[in-house]
Order: sequence, then C-alpha cells, then structure tokens
Amino acid sequence: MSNYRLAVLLLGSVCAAESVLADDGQYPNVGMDYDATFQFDHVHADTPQGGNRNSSDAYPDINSTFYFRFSRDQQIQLSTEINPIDPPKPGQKRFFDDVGLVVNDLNYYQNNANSAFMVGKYHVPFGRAADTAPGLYTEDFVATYDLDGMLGGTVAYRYFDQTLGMIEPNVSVYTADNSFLGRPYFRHGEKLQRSDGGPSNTGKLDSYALTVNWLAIPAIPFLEMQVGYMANKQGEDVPQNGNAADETIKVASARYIWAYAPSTDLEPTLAGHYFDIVPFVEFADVHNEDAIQGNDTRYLTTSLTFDFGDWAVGATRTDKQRQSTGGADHQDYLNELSVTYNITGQIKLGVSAGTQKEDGQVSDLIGLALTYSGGY
Amino acid sequence: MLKAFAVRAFARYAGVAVFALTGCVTQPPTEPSSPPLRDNPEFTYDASGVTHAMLTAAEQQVNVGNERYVSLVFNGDYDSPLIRTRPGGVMSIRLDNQMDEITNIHFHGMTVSPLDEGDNIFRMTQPHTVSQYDVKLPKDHSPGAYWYHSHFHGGAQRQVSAGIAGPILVDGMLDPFPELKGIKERVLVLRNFQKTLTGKVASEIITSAPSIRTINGQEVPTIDIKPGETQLWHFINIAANQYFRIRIDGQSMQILSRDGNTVTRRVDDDQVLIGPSARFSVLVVGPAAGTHDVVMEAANTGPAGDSYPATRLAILRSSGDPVATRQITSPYPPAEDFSTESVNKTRQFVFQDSATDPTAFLINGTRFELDKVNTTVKLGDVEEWRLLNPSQELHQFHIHQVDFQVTEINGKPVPFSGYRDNIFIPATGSITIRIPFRDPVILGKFVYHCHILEHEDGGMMQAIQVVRPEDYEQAVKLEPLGGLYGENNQLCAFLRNTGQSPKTSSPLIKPQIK
Repeated sequence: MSNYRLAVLLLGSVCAAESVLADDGQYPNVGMDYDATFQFDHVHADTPQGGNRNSSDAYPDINSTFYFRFSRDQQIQLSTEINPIDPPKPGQKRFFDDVGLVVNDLNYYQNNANSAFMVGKYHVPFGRAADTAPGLYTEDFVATYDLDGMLGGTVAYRYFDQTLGMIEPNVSVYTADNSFLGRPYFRHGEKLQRSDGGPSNTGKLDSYALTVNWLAIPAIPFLEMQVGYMANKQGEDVPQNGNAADETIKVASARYIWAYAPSTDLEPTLAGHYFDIVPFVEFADVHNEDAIQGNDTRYLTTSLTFDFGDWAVGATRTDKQRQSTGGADHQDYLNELSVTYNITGQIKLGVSAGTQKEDGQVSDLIGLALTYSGGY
Repeated sequence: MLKAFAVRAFARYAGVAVFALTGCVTQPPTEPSSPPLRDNPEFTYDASGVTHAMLTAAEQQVNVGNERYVSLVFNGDYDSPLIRTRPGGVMSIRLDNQMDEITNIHFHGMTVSPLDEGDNIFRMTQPHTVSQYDVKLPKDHSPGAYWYHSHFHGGAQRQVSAGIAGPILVDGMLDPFPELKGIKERVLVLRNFQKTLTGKVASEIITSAPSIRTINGQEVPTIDIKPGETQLWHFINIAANQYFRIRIDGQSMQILSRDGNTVTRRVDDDQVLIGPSARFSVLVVGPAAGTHDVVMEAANTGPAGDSYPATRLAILRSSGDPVATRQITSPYPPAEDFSTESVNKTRQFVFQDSATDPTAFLINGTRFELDKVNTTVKLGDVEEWRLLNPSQELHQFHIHQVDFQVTEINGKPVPFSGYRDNIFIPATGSITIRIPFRDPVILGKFVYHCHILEHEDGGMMQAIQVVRPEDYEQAVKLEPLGGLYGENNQLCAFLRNTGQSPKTSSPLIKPQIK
C-alpha cells in the first residue's frame, strides 16, 4: 500500500466519524480512540568494527482502538498500530518507509465492579517499566517481558481493605500468535512461525504470568508496588540460537508519587503549578531469555520524573546484565533524558536523548515525538 | 536530505488534510460577537409556591454560542430554562423525553427527598416517554443557586455536555441582608461544548478538545453595570468536566454563597475557582467607566488530567452615572461548625484512577454497581469522611441530598466559612469533611461520586442509604440486594423491607425537625 493511500484511508476514517457513535450510555454502540504520533529517531552508532554510522528514521506511529460495546461493562475491542515493521539498518535513512499495520488486540473485555477479564489477543499485564519509565526507548529495551499481542486470557480481581488498601492479583494464560492476526498488513513481513522457536511459541496455552499490584495503601497512599512471575514455555529448537529451554521471569517494582508542597487551595493545580517527583524502580530476573538455555539476564530500571504543570522531565537508566556471555561483555544499558510538554490537552511534544549499549554496540540516541490524541 | 518521493508524499498528506478540514467545518456564525447578556428563559412559582415546568428533551439544531450544532437540549434552546423556587416551595416538573435515549433528572445540591418522584436518580425515563417529578423543598431549605441535570449513569457526561442541564434558583439569599435589597441579580450559566467536525454534539467527550465556552449559551456576551453599582452574580458551572477559573479584569469579588450555602463571614477574592457542578454567588461592584474582560484562565487538572486554554468569557461594560455602592452591614447568618463536635463514625474512601483501564475509575477499588448499596448511615449521625486521591489528577467529590463542611485539605485545617456540596480532592492528596445526616427529608438511597462526569460514568460512584437507627441492622443486611429502599428507591420497598403495612403512617413523611 502506498503512503498516499494510507493517508487517504486515515483521513477518510476521520471524516467518516459522523456515522460512528461512541460511548453515550446507550447500548450496543461503537466507538474509537486513537493517538497519532510523528516520531523522528536519530542513532549515531560506534560499530565494533570501527567507524561511525548514522541512521535516521521518520515515521508515523498510529494507534487506534475500535470498540463494540454491549453494555457499560462488556465490549469487544480491536487495537491496531500503524508504524514501521522493522527498525532501520545501521546507516540507513528512512522517511515513512516500511510502514505497515499490525493488530495488537482483538479481544472480549469485561470489567465488573471488582473484577475484570479479557479473552482473545491482548497485552499481558506484567511489569511496569515499559509504560511507567519516562522517555521513548525503555519500552523497546525491556521488550523481553513486555509481551504484546499474545493469544489467551487474563483475569484480575480488586480486593480493597481499609488498612491494606487495594490488592489486585492478576492471572494470565497465553501463547504466541501464529494466526493471521500475527502478520503485518500493507507491508512485507510474515507471521510468527512455530519453526521460529522462542518463548511461548508452542501453539498451546501453556505459558502464564501472575502479578499482584498493591496500591492505595491508606498509610502510604502514593506508593504503588508490583511483584510478578512469568513462565514461558520453550518453542521449537532453532539450532543457530542454541538449546531451547523454558523462560522464567521474576519482576518486582515500586513507584512513589511525592507531591511537593501540597496546599489547601485549588489554585496551584489549576494554574499549572502542581509539582511532583516520581521515583520508580523495577528489577527483573530472567532465566533463559528468549527461551535460550543459559541466557540468563537481569534488568534494573530506575527512573525519576518531575511533573510540573504541562511539563514532565525524566531521567531513566536501565541496566541489562548478562550472566553468561561466553567471554563477551556482560553489561548493556540505556540512559535517557526526556522532556515532554503538553502543547494542548490533546497535543504533546516529547524530546528524548540518551546513550545505549546493546550487544557490544554503543549508540547515541535522539528522538522527537509529536502526538495527537482523540476519539470518536 | 529527504528523498524526493517522500517530500511529495508529505505534500499529499498536507493537501488531503487541508481538504478534509475545510470540507468538514461547521456552519458560519449567526450572531454578533458581543451581544448583551440575555436573561435565562424562566419557570417561576405561583402564589402557592409551586413551580410548574415542562422540560422537553430532544435532539435538534440550536445555537451554541455563535455556531449551529445538532445537540440534545431542553425546550429547543441550548440555554436551558431557569427554574425558580423558594424555601417551602414545590417544583412540579414534567420531563418529556423525546430523545432516542434514556435520561433522568437530578436536582443538584438540594436537600430534598431522594425517594419516589423526588430527586430519585435510580428512576429512568425511557425514550419517548414522560416522567413527573414533584420535589418539595423544606421550609428551611437554604436559598441560593442550584441546578438540574441528567444523572443517567454511563451517559451523564455526554448528555450534560450536550445540554441536558439547567439552572435552579431558590429565592431568599438576600433576605438576611436588607441593605442589599433591590440590587440587580444575574444568573450566569457556565458551559463548555466540544467542537466537532460533524456539526453534531460529540459522542465521546474529550475534555481537553477545542470547545465553545458560553455564559447563558452566548459567547462573550456584554454585561452592563454602572460605576459603583453592586450586582449579585450567580456563577453556575453546569459543564460536564471542566473547572472554571474566573477573574474580572482588575476587580475583586466578594463571595456571598458557595453551592447554595451563604458564607458565615466575609470572603473576598480576586478570582473564583468553580469546579464541575459548583456554584458561586458573588457581589460585583461596577468599576470605573470602560470595558473589562471577564476571563476564564487556563486550567490544568494534573499530569494525568486535562488541560484547557484561557478564554474570554464576557465583557463587563461599566457606563452611566456612578451610583452608591451597597455594602453588607448585617451579620452573616450563623451556621453550625461541625469541626468542634464529636462524630458518630469515621470512614475513608479512596478515589482512584484504574491502573489498568483508562476508562475505569474506582472508589475503594470498586466500580459503581446499580443494584448494590455501599454505605449505610443512621439518620441523626454526623460522620467524618477522609477522601484520598492517589491519582495524578483532581477528582471532584459530590454527595447528593446533604451539604458538608470541609475541615482539612492535605492535612491542614480549613477555617470554617460555610458548607459545600462538592469539593476538589487534590491530585495525590486528601481532604477531610464532616457530614450531618440529620434532616429526615434525606431518608432514602442516593449517591456520592466524582463530579467530573467522565469519572462518574467510568464507575467512580457509590450508593448510600440513610435509615432510621432502628432499621440500621436490616438495612446493612440488604446492602447487596439494593438496600432497604429497593432497587428503584421507593417508599413501598421501604415498607416491605421493614415489614410495615403501606396503610400505616410512615416516619419518612413526618414533619421535619431541625
């Protein structure tokens, strides 16, 4: 599909919104939320072979979620994402290249008074760094345990106690998506094959994750904690990757929101002077990462966010330590400084700069993202 | 350097975008930009104190400020009728629902019965049907500014935003101040209407989206005053989600009443912060001859909340011969300070955004359930409620049928100056209030919730039943089944659940004691 046709499709969907009804309390109904980001990444890499290589990528990242609601609590949701299917190669410069569409979610979701469950293709709720740490690149760096587009189901229960606060256990069962929903559309790319191996790629619902969120503790209401355990069954052996083995991941995280100088007046918040400092730390212990025997790793993400009115300034560091590397370097990392400014309530500009070391390659990163959010 | 084809593609995007936007614009303005502030259409009471009103809710094309939109409105006008009543009066209202959707009416802030055909938000009016509301105000009902609006759970945000809401004025606010008798009173209904490309009211409300902010349905009306003249302005925020931070250029305002409760001492400010559902009645003194902007400052409700830009709401035009300024010389009416009294019960509620679902909002980990009661209170008790907000955005607490006193915000004492029926809960903060559940007229089932209606529709609401002390044990047992007053909050359900015969006189309708 050409870029032009893609643009026409997108704008056509916006103009056709008149016929779309979203959640007006009358059921059944349909609706749509979206965010459209224009992102530019520039990577300056020092290659192990020597020499520098600059690559840049300007691309759209358009997330749309369509809802078919049966009631206030029950709906089918379809989430799609339009963005580049593969990252640029070192030294490559791209502008709106390799853009395709993938289906991230297609599921039935029910949210009751104290419980919620989801069946279909969904994002496994496990770990928080991908969503919580400020910046543009942490999500990719911790992708090992941030599992998108898995097939299966998840159920959560919210338990509240006046002393303990809210304790929310969650159980997910899933497998990797080998179906037609797992392939990119409008661009090259194949769906995941069983022969590709890897974690959870078994065709059976035999991988699972357990998490417990502990929030809103009345004595320390601004502390949020999560612990979790994930077990991903090994897929088929892929000889060039080494021996396959089941992957297990243990995760623990804590986040605290410290509102500086709280007042008795509404004025400071409304005037955009609300100021808080949010430290976050997450540790993940991975055994047999990517379902490769002996590929044990540890991730430690620490971040600090300063929110002030329409501004958010963040610093994030993620360390990835390899336990067994056959003599190679043990340590990967991502350092990132970011600034986000809400230009309006719907338009946000983010700038991020950092350094990354991955598989022995050191890179300087700089990125810019302009996001528009809306709904119909 | 960019590739040539990429530049061409970008030019195509821009061209298509411009075409799409220009092709979808709404109709041109139909009114001059600065008309005089108009008076609200009004229903008032007769000699016996009864206000008869017919509210016809329908989808039709109306003026929203200077633009035309198809919206959901009462009586064919985006500027809904003012219902005027008085303490001891009755509002007899027929709701003719000509919309294709369910609705109902809540009488916001009023200390009236929540049962049967009163302020009963558990009763729905189906599409193309008519409902009758008979709302009797106690003789000692606090005079001031109130409002009515759709409380249809799940659709309240959209209906209120569209126009299914309007002002109420309970006469008598100036009675304690004879020195103010005869001053000009104005009702200023504050609204926010989301702009759309379709010419129809938005089906999904986005609070930060570009919008039209109006007073009495008008964009930037002119409000006339004489230099030195004292006027009483009732600001009534009937927007679904928005905070209004209002200043009058170079002027301070004297706050006379908040949420229909006259203050207990003099309160002056150079701005009024009017949360969703709040009302502020203020004395405004005419400045030196000239024009002065009435502005809504930009607002931000926290890192996880909304932000909206500043806008000019009206022009204050001071002209004519100067007149003598009226000052309050009478004492303010006293009110009981509950902070010095012992409380019968202390409760704690956590108002929290869901960590996993951006459309879900929780109180104590729970989304609203229509057929369940969460809190049971004994009539006569004074309770202290501590409201916690661990979210990075404001919430706006409101409880039906009763007023309360704010005693602490973020752990700091708040000097007493009157009651409220809604109050912000600071982002990542807390607030403590004391609520007197004393007036027998409130016996029944009602709700407390966040009055950012996006959050209320998302589940940040719970049901409360107020019962006689002797019915308390039975009422608690019935909480999971909808409570003592039944699913629809009816007197007959109460009689059935307490084992009384419908023929016997009910304590619910005994004369009130205060």
